[in-house]
Amino acid sequence: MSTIKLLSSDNAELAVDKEVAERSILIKNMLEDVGGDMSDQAIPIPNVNEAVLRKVIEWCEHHKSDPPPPADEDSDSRKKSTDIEEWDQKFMQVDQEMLFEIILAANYLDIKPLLDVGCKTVANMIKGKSPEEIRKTFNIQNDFTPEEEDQIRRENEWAEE
Amino acid sequence: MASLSLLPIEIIHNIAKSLDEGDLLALRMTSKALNNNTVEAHLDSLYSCCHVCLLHSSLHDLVTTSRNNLVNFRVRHLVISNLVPRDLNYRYYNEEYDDPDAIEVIMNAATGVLESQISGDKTLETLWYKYFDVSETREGLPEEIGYLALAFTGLSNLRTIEFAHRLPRFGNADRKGLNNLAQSPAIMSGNHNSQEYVRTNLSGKIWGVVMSAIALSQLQNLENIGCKDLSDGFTLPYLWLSDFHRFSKTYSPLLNLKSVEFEFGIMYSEISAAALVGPALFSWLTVVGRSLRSLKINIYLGRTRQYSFGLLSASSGPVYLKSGRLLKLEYLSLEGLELDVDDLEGMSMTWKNFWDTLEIH
Repeated sequence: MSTIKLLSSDNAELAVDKEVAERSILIKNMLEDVGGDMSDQAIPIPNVNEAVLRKVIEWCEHHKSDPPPPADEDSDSRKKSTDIEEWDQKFMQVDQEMLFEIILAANYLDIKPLLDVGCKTVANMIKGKSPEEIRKTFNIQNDFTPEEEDQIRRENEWAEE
Repeated sequence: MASLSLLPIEIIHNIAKSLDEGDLLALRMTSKALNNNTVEAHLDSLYSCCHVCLLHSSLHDLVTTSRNNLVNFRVRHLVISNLVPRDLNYRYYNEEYDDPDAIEVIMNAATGVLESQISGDKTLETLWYKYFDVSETREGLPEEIGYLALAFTGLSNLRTIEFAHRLPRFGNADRKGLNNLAQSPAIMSGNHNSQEYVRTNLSGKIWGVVMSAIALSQLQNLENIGCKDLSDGFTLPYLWLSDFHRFSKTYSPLLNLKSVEFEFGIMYSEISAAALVGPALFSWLTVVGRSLRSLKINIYLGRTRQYSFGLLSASSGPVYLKSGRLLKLEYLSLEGLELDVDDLEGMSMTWKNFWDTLEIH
């Protein structure tokens, strides 16, 4: 099995099986563009640091045999499901900054299933909470005036023409 | 440092896909940045699927939605339910709507919309009193159905219309500001369960008028029409389908209609009437269904869901599907209707994958 090297934003070089790295559509396309031979040269991943890249690779290794994700569902049939399989749940038990970094890395590297798991994890942290509880959970500063807050509330009581 | 507020908008939208209306509203209210990034997702979530019951208040709200340019294009799925709140003094529609003037009222509604667009007079009240003057001069006219027709003219992105017993989205949550139908007693937020609703007899005639409204309103983007499990007291709209056919020839066909699925239960006493349904329905389908890919029609007897081909076929002539107008049909399932097999064999020569999917009972 061939191996390729990835270079993180903090200049760490990580060796990864090609099959694992190709869970990233970005890397897969890149390898296809150069004819698949990147054995002597590390692929720079400038937006992702070593710690995050290691986590992403760990996820890709575990899911390397997964079937390709289905094509985008129509927005009408989108599911509200936030079911996450057990391994992924444990994988996502990280501090918030790491969670967001993984999501951003998955977005950049174009790993849709990982992006979806990350987004569902955040959604689960939001579900059922009040605005104040969400602010507390994610350390968000409330920059609304009371009038603006009322305005949103009113708009949603009844959509006036 | 990465944080929720700083995530790119496409990621916020991905997160929003897993949240319901209440969660999205809460998220919007946390900060200005998150409000800006989630307002579209929230509005889509609120309006992409509207539920109405055939009550004046519920349908009036739907018309208001259809006239609101900020939200009307978001409505893609409409569920028409025959559930009404138990404590409401509702009418029994199958009696009230037994009026041949209904079609005329619907036509007037569409005319009214066109005229108001020309004249600039867009108030709903003006339209209503001009074209739906039911209270003073036409006692018993189906004003709710008129409202529905009026609403259709403003819901140009409607993809799916479904007739259903249930309001599944309202069964398990406290959803304040669910959508602007919240003023309807049938679907206000709160903890609902089936005990609070009763089934009205959504008659076949109402169904026929609703279908007429669909044809009349030229819902060019409509892809799916579904009607399942409306068995209790449901009568088949054989007479109204004749009118329906007239409309469908007069007005534009539903160019994007891909799926039609109906399931009817009928009583033994209504078998002879039901026999007229097949030919009428298929006449309509051959006119409107140029893009039709899937057609499923099941007719069964009584409440036990027994299919009785023999009884129906004894009182009905064979149904002729007109092959020339259904070129894209790939899936066909018919139960309780007699189909002319020679015609089918002829059609199958041109239908891709036809025999792989055919189910005739």
